[in-house]
Amino acid sequence: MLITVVPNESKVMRPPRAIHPLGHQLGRVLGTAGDVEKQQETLFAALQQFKELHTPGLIQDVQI
Amino acid sequence: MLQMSRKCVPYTPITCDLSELNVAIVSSTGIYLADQHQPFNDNGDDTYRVLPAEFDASQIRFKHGHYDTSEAEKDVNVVFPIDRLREFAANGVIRGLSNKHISFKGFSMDLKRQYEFLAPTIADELERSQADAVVLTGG
Repeated sequence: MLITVVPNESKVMRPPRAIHPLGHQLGRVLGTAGDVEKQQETLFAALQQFKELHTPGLIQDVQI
Repeated sequence: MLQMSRKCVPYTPITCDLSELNVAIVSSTGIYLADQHQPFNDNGDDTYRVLPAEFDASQIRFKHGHYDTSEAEKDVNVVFPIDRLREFAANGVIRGLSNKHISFKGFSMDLKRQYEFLAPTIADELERSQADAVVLTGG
């Protein structure tokens, strides 16, 4: 399960499951320092992908 | 050593609940522990570091050079969500944390070695760990 902020680069690695948290940036892919709530929401969105059957290799855009 | 397909997307359906999974972090953020590890090289680096489930957060360091680590140095969880995973384990969202987490630098001009050595070696390391699922993060 990949959390990526560069989906076009990540796509060539063919990750089985991936999310792209919209608006997040390099160096803070789960959110900003100290923003526990956003970090939790991002990680939870990633873990939720384990529960869903979807097209392998699809990178899911998510709005956190 | 595991062999990876060059064409297919590797995909393993998970049939159990999240609360039954031990989760590991594998991260290309160049994180290491000052009291246990050597820093990564300045240039290309094909090595990795194993982080245990519990470690002294004051020993966390970053050596990467290809992304801005200033936020991560203030709060490791922005790229390596170890505390968030611990909270999810405490709340029963996941079963627990793996006994091993993996860090590497993810930058090398020797892509063949990354593909044929580093990635399969990390996969082997995880096969021998308690991890049922892996969260991958980059810088």
